[in-house]
Amino acid sequence: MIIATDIGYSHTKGATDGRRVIFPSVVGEVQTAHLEALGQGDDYLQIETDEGAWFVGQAAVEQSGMTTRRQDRKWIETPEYHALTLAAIAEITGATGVTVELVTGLPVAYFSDHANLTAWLKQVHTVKRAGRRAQRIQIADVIVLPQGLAAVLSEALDSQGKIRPGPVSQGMVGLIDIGGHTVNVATFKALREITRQTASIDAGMWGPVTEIGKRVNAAYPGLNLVGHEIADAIQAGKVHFFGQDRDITGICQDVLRPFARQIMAVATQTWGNAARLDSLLVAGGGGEVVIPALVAEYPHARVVSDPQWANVNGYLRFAWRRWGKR
Amino acid sequence: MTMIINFSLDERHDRDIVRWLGEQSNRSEAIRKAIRAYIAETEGPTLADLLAEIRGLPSRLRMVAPAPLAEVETAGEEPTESAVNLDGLLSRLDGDEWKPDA
Repeated sequence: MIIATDIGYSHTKGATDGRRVIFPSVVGEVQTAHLEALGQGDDYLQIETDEGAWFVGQAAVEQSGMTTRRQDRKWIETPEYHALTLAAIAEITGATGVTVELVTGLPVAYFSDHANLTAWLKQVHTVKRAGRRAQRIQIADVIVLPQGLAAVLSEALDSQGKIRPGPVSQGMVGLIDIGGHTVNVATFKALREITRQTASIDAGMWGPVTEIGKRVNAAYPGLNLVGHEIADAIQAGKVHFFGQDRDITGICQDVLRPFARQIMAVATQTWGNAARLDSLLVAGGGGEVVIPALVAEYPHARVVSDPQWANVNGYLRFAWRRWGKR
Repeated sequence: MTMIINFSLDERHDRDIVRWLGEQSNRSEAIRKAIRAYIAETEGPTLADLLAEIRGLPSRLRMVAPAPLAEVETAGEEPTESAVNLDGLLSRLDGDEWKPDA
């Protein structure tokens, strides 16, 4: 079966034809005995891989004293990243023996690591979810795509992987991909990247999210929001404190405004006023929070359709084109 | 290396198998196929798996996002230039860096 995974700095997503799963990108270590004890009838996602036993997602947030959320370049080589990937697959399919064609992605800035990721993925993995029999997951084939390109493909391809005629697939498209640690600006003409109109800056949503978290936690002592909770609060524009909603949009704007200016600077350097672009798409976890600032400068800028799932949609549609829908 | 494995059949109780084997032109191949089909079928979820799945359903319902909306297939031919560019993507991605042509 064909499965797409997107291990984001906030959430891990997995999808196959007709099914999607999502959970916070948080992993916490757990003793194997604990795993079995909690496993019977437990709601939480707990898995055991060749590299250890883990609480994953909300279970890690609630159950594990030691949670891991590293998002640097070496993250893809860690057992925690592996656990998130295998947990997503195990959430998609409960079959005890399954052959998977996997499509996933990496930030453009880290894309040269794709061979290492492919080498780890392309093997037989044993995964044991609490309360289930062990699963033998054979990843037979792997495609790794640049994340930003996947967002473009999510709009350029239909649900069979066929190219949809239109400005995104045939015209000049600018893309601002706001990742966890980098922001990439890319330009495509008829789905081919134009290298001279590509740029990357070492600033992603992780910095502003961390800063907003610090300020919110300082303003509301005892909340102690962590990673994905901060991301959720930013999206909602509020936190729940002693039974009452408290507005945090002011804190968010103070932190996000300079971040948006950084993005604007690199976009202007690349495209000028972007008048030659047929479409200007904004993708990645921070797209929705910086789009107001971008639209003021570029009226045709818009967040890519179904933004949270854009990468996954692009991965799947490209895989269906490549391998056929099955 | 070829392995030869014998198994026994009761002419009366297993007459359906005896009859089926009699219809096969290559019995070894037919038996191999039948065993593989059985393995594939039995490797699916067991009753215990299904019960565990049902127990975990409330949290899974919270975690599983809505399925993608069904889309109508695109009618007509694909734009040629875009198709050529897209189908050459993987070969362009191959290598240490993503270095598409300028």
